[in-house]
Order: sequence, then C-alpha cells, then structure tokens
Amino acid sequence: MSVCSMINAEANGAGGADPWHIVDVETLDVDTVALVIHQVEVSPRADQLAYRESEIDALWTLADMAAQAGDTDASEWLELLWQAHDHVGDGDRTRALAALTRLRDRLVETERRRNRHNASM
Amino acid sequence: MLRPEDNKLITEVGPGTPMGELFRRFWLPVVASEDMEDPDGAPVRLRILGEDLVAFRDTDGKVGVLSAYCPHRRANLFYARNEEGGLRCVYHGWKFDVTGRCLHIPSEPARSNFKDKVRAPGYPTQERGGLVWAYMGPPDKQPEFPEYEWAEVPANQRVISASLVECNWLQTLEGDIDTAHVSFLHRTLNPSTTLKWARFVENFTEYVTKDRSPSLTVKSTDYGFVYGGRRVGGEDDYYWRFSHWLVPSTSETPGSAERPGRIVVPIDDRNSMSFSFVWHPHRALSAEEAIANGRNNGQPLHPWELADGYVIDTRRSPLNRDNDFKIDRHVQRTKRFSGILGTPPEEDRAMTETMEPVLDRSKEHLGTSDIAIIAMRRRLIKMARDLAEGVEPALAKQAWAFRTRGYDVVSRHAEFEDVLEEHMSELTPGRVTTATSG
Repeated sequence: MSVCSMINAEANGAGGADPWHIVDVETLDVDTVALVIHQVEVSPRADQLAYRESEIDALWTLADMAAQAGDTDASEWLELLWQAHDHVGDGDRTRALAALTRLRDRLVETERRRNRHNASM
Repeated sequence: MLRPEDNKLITEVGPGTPMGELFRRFWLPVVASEDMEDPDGAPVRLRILGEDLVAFRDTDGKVGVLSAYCPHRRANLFYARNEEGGLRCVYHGWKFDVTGRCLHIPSEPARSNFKDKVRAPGYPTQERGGLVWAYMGPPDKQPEFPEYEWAEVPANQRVISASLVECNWLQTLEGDIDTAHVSFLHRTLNPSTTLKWARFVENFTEYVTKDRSPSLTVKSTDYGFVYGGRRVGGEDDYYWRFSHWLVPSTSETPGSAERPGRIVVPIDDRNSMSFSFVWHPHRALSAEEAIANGRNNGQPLHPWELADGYVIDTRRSPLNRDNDFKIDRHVQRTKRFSGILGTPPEEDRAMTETMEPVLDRSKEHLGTSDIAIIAMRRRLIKMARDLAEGVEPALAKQAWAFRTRGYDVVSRHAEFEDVLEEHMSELTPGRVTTATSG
C-alpha cells in the first residue's frame, strides 16, 4: 500500500485493508462503527490514526446531535467516543478499539431494545 | 474536538507554556521591515508570545528586539530616544544597543562598572524577505535560519503584508489549511467574474463551484504535511489544490501563478499577527499583482490597545468586528457568497474573529473533511508534549525542509501520489543558489 494513496469515500464496506480510506460517517449505527473499528485495526501509524480521529470526530458529532435531541442513550456513546478519540490521539489503538467495541456493543443492545419496543406497540 | 485540557495546551503560548516553548524553538517574524525603515526612527511596540517588546533600527541600520521594559525601573522603552547606536531610556538615561548590551548609565558614578553588568533582555534578529525575525528560545538551541524560498527571491518578486488578527493563533491557522471552505466563503456567485490576475488555474471558479466536497489527502512530512484537495471536473480532469503546513504556524496555500502563504505569530492567547507573503518563483510581480496583493498599501502602523490595556503598534483592517466586516446583504444575494466585499483574508477574519477569542474545541462538531485540522492539532500536541519532556523538535535544525510552495493544477491524475510525483519540483523545489535576500 502506498503511503499517500488517494482517499475517497466510495469504498465503504469493501473490507479491504486501506488505512488511507476514510469511512463515510453518515449515521451512528452498528455497521458504521464496525467499519471504523476495522480501520483502526489496520492503521498503525500516527498519520493514519489522524484519519481515524476524523471518523471518530464525525461519530461524536452525530452522538452529540442525538444527545441534544433528547436521546437518553447518547451520553454513554459520547463518553465512549471521547475515550476512543483520546486513545487514538495518543496512539493507543488497543484502548481505542476497546472503547469502540464497547460502543458497538451498546449500539447493538440499543437497537435490539428499540426493535422490541417498536414490535410491542 | 479536543478535551479542554488539550485545547488549553495547544492554544496558550505565554512563557513557560508547552506550546509557547515550541514556538520559541523557531525563528518568528515580528514586524515588517517597511514598518521600521528609518535608522534612529521611532521604536515599534510589539507583543509576541505574551512578551512585551520594542523593535528599533539603530543608527547603522541594525535591528534590535528588546523587552519593552527598561531593566532599571521598568519604564517603557517605546518612549526611549533612538540615537547614536542605541536606545536611551528617557527616565534615567540608561542606553542599550540592539543586542541589549548596556552602553551607558549616566546616573551612576563615572568610575562605576555597573553598566557592564546590566543587560536589557533581548532576542537575536535577522532581516529576511522583507520581515524582521526574532529567535526567542534558549541561546544554545538557536537554529539556522529556515530556507523559506519566498524570503530568498529578489524583493520585486514578493509582496509582504502584516496585520492584526483578533483571535487566538490556532483558529487562524486552521482556516489557512482548510481547503473545503474555499468552495463557500471565497466564492463569487457568477463564475465568470473572476479577477483577471487571479492566481489560481483558469477555470478555478467552475471547479470549486461544481465540486464542493473535495476528496482530501494529508501526507505527513518532515516539515508538517502536504495536503491535497481533489475536485472532479469532467470525465478526465481533476482540479488539485496543494497546501503545506510547516511547523509551527506557516501555511503555503495554492496558486499556479503567484504563490500565497502566511505565518501566524501569536501576540498573546487572544490576538495574532498575520505575516502574509505573495510571491512568484520565477519573475517580478507586475504592478497590478503587487497592488492587488499588497494589503498594507502604504498604511502606517497605528496604536492598538489590547484587552489588558497594553498598547502595541499594528495595522488593523478597515473591515473588522466593529463594523461587521461591512457585510452587504445585497452583495450576499447577488455577487459574493460571503457578502463581504473584501479580500479573502478579510473574509477569513470575519469567520475566525467572530468565534470565541480562543475557540472552545470541546464544543465543535467536526466531520471527516476536517482531516487536515485534526492531523495538525495532533502533531502540535505531540511536539509540545515531547518538548516538555526534553525532546527537541528535529525540524528546527532542518533549515532545508522549509523549501515548499503551494500549488494548484488541473491534472488527468486521480491519484494523489501520481499528481504529487508529477509536480514535485513545484511543490518542494531545490535550493535557488542565485537568489538574493531583499
């Protein structure tokens, strides 16, 4: 992989190991967080982790918008994203991945709970 | 986004702060040469990195940058007599040369050697590229002067502007490396009405109007990073804009004719100086280009009172917060996206100066298009923390690394690496051995 290959957003979900690819962050959901987790896993270098920080920033933006809209789950998402953000900034991928994995798991639980709630109505 | 503690670390620049110390490892412009042309002329009041200073040109034309306060009773040396090779405090007559050496203490007994033991705190200076530069760091860490190419070309190939920016240095610099805002803030509503001497590629306005979401690439380098924004034109043409960020606060932004750039120097935590340069690598600027880019345009320095009451001598744009940057809503509807009939830097200041004086980055909401800003912050935070732990910035000793040019080009290449390789000689040129400093 070249050091400075062009980045664009057309290959979300392709599953390749391109640390220079930026995930399109349009929704805060399990799939998007899983893509970001994958990108953190394949990004060992500091300049690659700046790309990951931009994705986490975008996720945080969506979480904060959810919080402002009254989503009671969002405060936990925000804290986990702060943790992931800071660990990525410090180059600590292990702890960043732990925070993102916990976020993904929390989103899974939230989706299940909300699906059950919707089904019961 | 940044935690408040990281935001504090990266924005505060006073003596002893991590970021302030990082700045102090580099040569910094402090005043334009044209603002202190006359030997024995009036001293200029400055504040740089939170330190109150005076700059003066002595009888022989040498420039000194000293603490504003006389070491005797701390009278302000702005009021000093600039005469016969030094600055003489008018309070008790103590006199200092451009290095801060005390030349005379008339109030002490004639036999006294007191003057040999007194110094005015001061900093080494150089005049390059139409600017006076100071090195404010530890003497044993003083680096060679950086090989800025724009500072080495003959004076008629360059224009310099120096002006006040009324906000923290970082939010100013962040605007300089943010290519995405070009498609909005600096856009005319009619693509055909571009200035005929515009520095960008011929169809600049069409490209930035058509594609407002450029694909972005940041490549880390010795000096900071090179940053490319790609806009799609037709089926086989891409408009590439390349900018450089050079640690700590220089940006060289795109141009294919004359090349623009800027060094942001903190006055204190809430104000900055912008030292802009527009230059051509190969020829003298035309009179038209020089006038269009010479934003000082003969305006002298004026006293300006900072928030704590201290007065500096600077140049404030006639478009400023006091008059809402003269925004014209009719112009906004019909001619300019911003509605501000000013220069791009004035449009930039309308955005950055009307944030908080020190932007609270824990409250912002970034997207993936903010990658360059994120990469820059992260690098600066790391360098400031490293320095606080005793790891000196290697770049300060790599004078050659500062030879960069912003560039814009229409290319058939869609890949960053390919277009970078094709135009490497424009982006990171070799040393010009025949150039002279102006």
